[in-house]
Amino acid sequence: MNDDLKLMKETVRDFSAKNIENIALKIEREGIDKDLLKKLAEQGFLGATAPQEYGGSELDGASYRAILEELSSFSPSVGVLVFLYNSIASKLLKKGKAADYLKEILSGESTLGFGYGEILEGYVNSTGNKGSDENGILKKDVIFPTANKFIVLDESGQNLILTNGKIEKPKNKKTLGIRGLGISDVTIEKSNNEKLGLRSDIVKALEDSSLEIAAIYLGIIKGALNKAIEYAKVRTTFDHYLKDYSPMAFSLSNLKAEEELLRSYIYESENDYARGLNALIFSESLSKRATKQALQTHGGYGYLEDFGVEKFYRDAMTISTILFRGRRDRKRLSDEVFGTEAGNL
Amino acid sequence: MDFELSDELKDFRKMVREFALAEFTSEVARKRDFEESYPDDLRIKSLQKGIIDFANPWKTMVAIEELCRVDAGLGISVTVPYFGAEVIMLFGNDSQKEKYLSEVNRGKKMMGLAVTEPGGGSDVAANKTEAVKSGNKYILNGSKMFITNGQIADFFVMLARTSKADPAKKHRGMSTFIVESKFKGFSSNKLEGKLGVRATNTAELILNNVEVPEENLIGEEGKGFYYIMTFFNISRVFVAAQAIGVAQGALDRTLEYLKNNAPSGEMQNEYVQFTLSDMATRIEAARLLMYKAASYLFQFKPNPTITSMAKGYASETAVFASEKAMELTGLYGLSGDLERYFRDAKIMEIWEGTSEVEKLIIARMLEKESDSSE
Ligand SMILES: Cc1cc2nc3c(=O)[nH]c(=O)nc-3n(C[C@H](O)[C@H](O)[C@H](O)COP(=O)(O)OP(=O)(O)OC[C@H]3O[C@@H](n4cnc5c(N)ncnc54)[C@H](O)[C@@H]3O)c2cc1C
Repeated sequence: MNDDLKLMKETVRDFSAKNIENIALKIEREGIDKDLLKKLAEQGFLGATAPQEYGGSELDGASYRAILEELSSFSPSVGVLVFLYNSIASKLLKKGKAADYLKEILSGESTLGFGYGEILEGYVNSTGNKGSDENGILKKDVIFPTANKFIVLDESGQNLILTNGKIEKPKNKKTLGIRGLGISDVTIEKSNNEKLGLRSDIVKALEDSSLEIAAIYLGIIKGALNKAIEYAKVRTTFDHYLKDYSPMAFSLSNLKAEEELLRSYIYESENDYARGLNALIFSESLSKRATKQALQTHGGYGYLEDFGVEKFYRDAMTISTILFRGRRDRKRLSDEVFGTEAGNL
Repeated sequence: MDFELSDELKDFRKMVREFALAEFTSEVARKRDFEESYPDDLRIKSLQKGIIDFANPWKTMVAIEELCRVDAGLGISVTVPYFGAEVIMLFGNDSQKEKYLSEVNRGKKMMGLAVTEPGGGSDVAANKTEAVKSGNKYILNGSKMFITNGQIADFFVMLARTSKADPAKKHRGMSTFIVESKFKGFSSNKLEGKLGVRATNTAELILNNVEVPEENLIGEEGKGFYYIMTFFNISRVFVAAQAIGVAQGALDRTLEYLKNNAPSGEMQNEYVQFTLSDMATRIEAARLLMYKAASYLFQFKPNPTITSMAKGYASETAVFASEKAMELTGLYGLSGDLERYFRDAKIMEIWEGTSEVEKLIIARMLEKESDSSE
């Protein structure tokens, strides 16, 4: 890791320690607030890779991944937001009013939600249009449903549009993870929308972002394991520190070793589709194992939100549902490995 | 060797399942989970329905599994008002049974078991809560952590130290008491923000010079640690039932999705098929271990090795199955009821002996058993 990158990581870490750590629980309970968005914008994190003319920072890939890793190690929700703005929104909001709107969200003035459910699963026809009436169309499983505008599919199910919408307050339900953003249904306006491109554009944007998603996982892994390691140094049972028990020490240090390998791999890769997939598949599985062990290390305290560990367990699983696309990503890797179509039965 | 439950138990299982499906609707489960509120109405209903039959432990085990299969938070909530009863049943005297247990059995009162302290749960012998004899009373001081029913129980079976710890034999000098929540100096703080089983009530208990009459000492002074360990050897079978319920429920709901809601052809994919087979195999193995542990226990020949294996393996299976269910159902599971299983399952590896503690017990017993077989 070169000095610039080290400095970048330190900067993000200091920022997070100062501006995120103290409100991490509040983010989980009430969502990411405007104040934090502004601060993220001021630092240039919110538009890390976006063009400068829209208020972006035009950072290189490694710096961007450093931001994703460090932010996610404090609050995965914040990491995911930065990811969605840079890896998805910046690639789609390119022209006319849409580009103006990119400026607004990158400055923290406005916010942008994503109609993920239908875009990824393509289930626009089964559920997406059900709630359609003269006022609007109900969209299922929208990420950041409290946002001002949304990227969703139009009625044909093929085109991406930018549109206004309103959250349908979920009844008696919080999302499993990324609670700082939330996932819920939104009613969007039928008129007043901007065409952005095709559904396949967003799928491609996502498929080209494997390394970045892996960087979010890396942050989650680090955040969870570091908490567990610190706890194992101070908690005693049967007159010994937890760290002194071999299963505890071996398990945490093995996971830490995997984390280190993943980190060097992520920062040494650039614009390489296959390496990106390798990192993605590996980090997804590691994030689940690491967060589970971190929670377990805390015993009963791990089960309570106050201790800030269980959120990593929830978020790892949630991100593996919305950003990692399970079998589709495994199949993409298989195709790479075999050099031909594989794993389709 | 017969792997079938009796016809009576099969009918009973069916009855419990119908009850759970009718009462534990998605709406009710979500509401209690969201609000972190205890479903007292369901406790009363399940009692009236005869879902809880303390005279028959097989029925209790089957009921716990079937209830948790539909929803763990609600299922545990309706079966936990009796938590700790076995301590009084086995070691208490007749007047304690009459005064406290009969009320619980009739649904008039709720109880809890208070062992864990802020400083430690696995290491029970490190308990610090003190009980000092004064005339015909004991004065209790200390605090208890993560106590289920902590805010709503009328009384607790509580472990406290009655004589100074001998560093070499710390498990000696501990005693169990019946402590009523209305005793002066007793207070509780609800613990909010649990990952799962959020319909259950969890609290921290504070004991500030609580006067407990000496007739509330359970059994003999100094034997508390032994009583509690005996209790865990019983209750762990029931935790296995909770865990198997969660695992089975996660499998049920995954199959339901694959058959009715998934894109066509999902069930034909081998990755899906192998994952389902794994889930089902582990669930079956865990259930057989539980039946074996139960069979020893309910014939009064408890086998701590098998019991810890059953509890540990069933808990791991619950976590495994709920994780796989999330993987196979994607956004459907995330926005539906399955994500609750994923959150609920994790408690199984923590309470009533963490998975690590179960392993320690198994290893210790293996060492002992190999001595005696020589
Ligand atoms: C929702 C909830 C409800 C509960 N209800 C009750 C209740 O009603 N009554 C009650 O008394 N308690 C209750 N508990 C407490 C529960 O039983 C304890 O949390 C549990 O026993 C673990 O104790 P601890 O939290 O202190 O973890 P610790 O004992 O501090 O353990 C921390 C971690 O270290 C591991 N560990 C400890 N020792 C070793 C070792 N020697 N080798 C390897 N690993 C080790 C543990 O397995 C665990 O992973 C409840 C807990 C929760 C979360």
